[in-house]
Amino acid sequence: MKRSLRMQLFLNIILGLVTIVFSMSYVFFSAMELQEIVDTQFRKEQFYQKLQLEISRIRTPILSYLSSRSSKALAELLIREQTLRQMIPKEIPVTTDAYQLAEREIFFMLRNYLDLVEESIAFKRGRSIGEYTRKYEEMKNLNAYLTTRIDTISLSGIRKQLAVYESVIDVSRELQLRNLLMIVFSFLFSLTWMLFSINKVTDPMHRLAQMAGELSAGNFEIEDIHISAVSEVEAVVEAFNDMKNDIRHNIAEIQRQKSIEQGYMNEKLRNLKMEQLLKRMELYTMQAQMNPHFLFNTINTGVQLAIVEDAEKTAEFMEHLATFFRHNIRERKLIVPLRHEIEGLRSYFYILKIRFPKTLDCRLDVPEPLLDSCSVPALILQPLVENSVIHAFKGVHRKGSISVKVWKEGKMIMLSVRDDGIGIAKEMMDSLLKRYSWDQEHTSKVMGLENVIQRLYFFYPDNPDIVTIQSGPDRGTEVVISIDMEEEPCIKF
Amino acid sequence: MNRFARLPMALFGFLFLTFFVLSLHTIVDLARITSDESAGESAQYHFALFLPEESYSFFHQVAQGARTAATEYNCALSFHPVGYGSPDLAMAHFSGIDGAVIYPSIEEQQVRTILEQLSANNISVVLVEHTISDDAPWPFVGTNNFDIGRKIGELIALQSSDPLQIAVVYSEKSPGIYAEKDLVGLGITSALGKRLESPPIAKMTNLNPLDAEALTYRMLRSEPGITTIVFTDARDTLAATQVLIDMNLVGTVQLIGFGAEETILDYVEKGILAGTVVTNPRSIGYHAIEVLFELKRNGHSAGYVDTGVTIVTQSEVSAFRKVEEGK
Repeated sequence: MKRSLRMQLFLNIILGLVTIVFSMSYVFFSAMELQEIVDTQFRKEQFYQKLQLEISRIRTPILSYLSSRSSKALAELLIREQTLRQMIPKEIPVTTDAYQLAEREIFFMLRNYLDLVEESIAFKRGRSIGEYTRKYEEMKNLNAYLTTRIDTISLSGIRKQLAVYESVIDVSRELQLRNLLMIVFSFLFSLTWMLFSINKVTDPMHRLAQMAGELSAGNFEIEDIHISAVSEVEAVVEAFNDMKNDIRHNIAEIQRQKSIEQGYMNEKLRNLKMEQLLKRMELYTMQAQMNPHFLFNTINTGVQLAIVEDAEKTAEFMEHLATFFRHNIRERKLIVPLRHEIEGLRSYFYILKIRFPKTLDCRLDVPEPLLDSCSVPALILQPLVENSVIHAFKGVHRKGSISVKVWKEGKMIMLSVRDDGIGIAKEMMDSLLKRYSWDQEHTSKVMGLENVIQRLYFFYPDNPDIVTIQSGPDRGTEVVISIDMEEEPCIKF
Repeated sequence: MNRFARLPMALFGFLFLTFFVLSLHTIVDLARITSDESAGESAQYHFALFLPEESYSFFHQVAQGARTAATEYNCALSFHPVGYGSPDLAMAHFSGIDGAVIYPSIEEQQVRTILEQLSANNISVVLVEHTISDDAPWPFVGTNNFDIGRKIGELIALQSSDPLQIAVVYSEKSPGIYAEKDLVGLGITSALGKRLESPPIAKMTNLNPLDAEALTYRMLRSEPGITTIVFTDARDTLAATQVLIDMNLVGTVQLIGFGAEETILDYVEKGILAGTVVTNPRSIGYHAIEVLFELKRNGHSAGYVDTGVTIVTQSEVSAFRKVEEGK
């Protein structure tokens, strides 16, 4: 309440006005005091003049009464006597001051004079002529003497006052000058006080306006305003400071989030590139696993040697073996014509026939027109056949059969690898058909069934039935690959 | 901004308060100047001193002694002239005083009347340097004039050889001695006895301070047999000594002075005056007030206080000065 704008303005204006009013009142008071001092100085002389007048006035009624015994004169005499008695102070102390002693003597003489008056009246009433005549003589002398003494003391007082007159005038002038200066400085003090008060209120507003200008220009880094002013202005200043700081804080937060998002996007992009690079590297890795150039060249050398030695069957075997490796090793393309895949598979079948002439029957059924009209991912049939050779006939003592069949159903080209082996357990099939993300570790076996399935999932992510497996215990296993000929395989990064 | 606004505000505020305080101080000064500065302290009794108006050092010293005593006894003291034409003493019994010290330089009968009026009004009285005949018990403070004469005689005996012809110059200026000039003459006679060729001649000066000068001229010219001239007033002493110097009669005629003025002491020191009679008026004034105070307080006091007389010769001047300075 005390710091409120209204109260402060009220108090400041009151203080300024009170100062001025006080100084003016004081000057008025001092003027009155000065007048009183001067008046006091002459009051005593006025008193003595009046006393002297009264003493002279009483002479006539005294003589009149003593000579005529007039009641009128007596009445006047008594009035005069009472008037004079009232002018005598009740207390007339003895002091060491000569002037006051002179006053004391006058008052005592006056009192005795009035006693003489009363005595003479009494003598007159008693017709003691000699007594009142003598008293009258005494009164006359005393009256004259009193007049002289009053003259003397009055003159003494005037001389005394004249002695200090010059000092009084000097001090009075000095007093007036000091009063004038006091009023001037009181006015200046009040003026500066009010200006200070106005400034105290308006300065924060001015600074707020400046701050608003800075904020509108986008500068939120300016310092807070700290002003001990009136409560209303302080509330505005505080609110303004809070607003500025909140805006600055929000802007900083937005920028920080933007920065985080940018970082996140960069990180995401980097992760994506890394993922793509990882895929590419994995593919290369898979293909690089089949890159024994030395073996391939050596086999070619063996073919030429078998031809030179006329070992035709060996030469034929070696040639198929060379063809098999050529398709599996030299090919760097991810998608190849079906013919290319089938030729490799035929060489592989020839090798299997040489290796397992009595225990394994391999059959291939591919329509000739499809060989050049269809393309498939490289190395998807041979691993399936190899998987059957390795796993389908474990513990089987009869002749196994593996057949590869390619046919077309509408826009789909179907590739089937079927064996009549021991089959695959349901859990195994589910595990094999599970999609792995690239950042997951899995037990991929190179060139195995799982590898082929996962590569097909990679090339055809939008086709969930790209691979199906039908199998049962002792019922053999058929793996069917269904490729949409119109669907572009996902091989570009 | 605020800092710059505060500075003139503080300055003007300070100047305002300064001139306010100065103004108050001036009013107090003014009141003090115009007030009765000599307002005295309250006193026990009011005594009045009635002395002749002549400005002789004798009376000044009496007044000085009275002031000292009044201060010591906390009494107020008013001073009044006494003499022909002044009604103060006649009106004293109306004035409410508690006591009066009177140097009665007026007619004895008139003095007696006044003293009776004072007594009737229960106003105590002390007489100084005067003896009203002893049928009324007025306390007296002063010197014994016979003693004065005797001491003068003793001094003359030391200074002059026989035969001696002495002239004593009384004065209206020293009415106390003049009133008892016979006692003074008796004192001189008793001290010198048969060495006197003839009884001391009494001369008289009036109130004119230069009257003694003319008188001395006349005596030295017309009465060459006078070997010693005795003065009973300080102003007469000063005037006569200058005549003696002018007439180149220093050493031929012995002068006995009166009073302790510095010029007189110088004359004594130089041998121009054979000596000077000092009656100690300060002590007279002091004891007069003392007696009055005792009268008012106790109802009685000593009826007679002899303040003594001192003769200062050439060899005693230094010692006398030291004693006076010490007082």
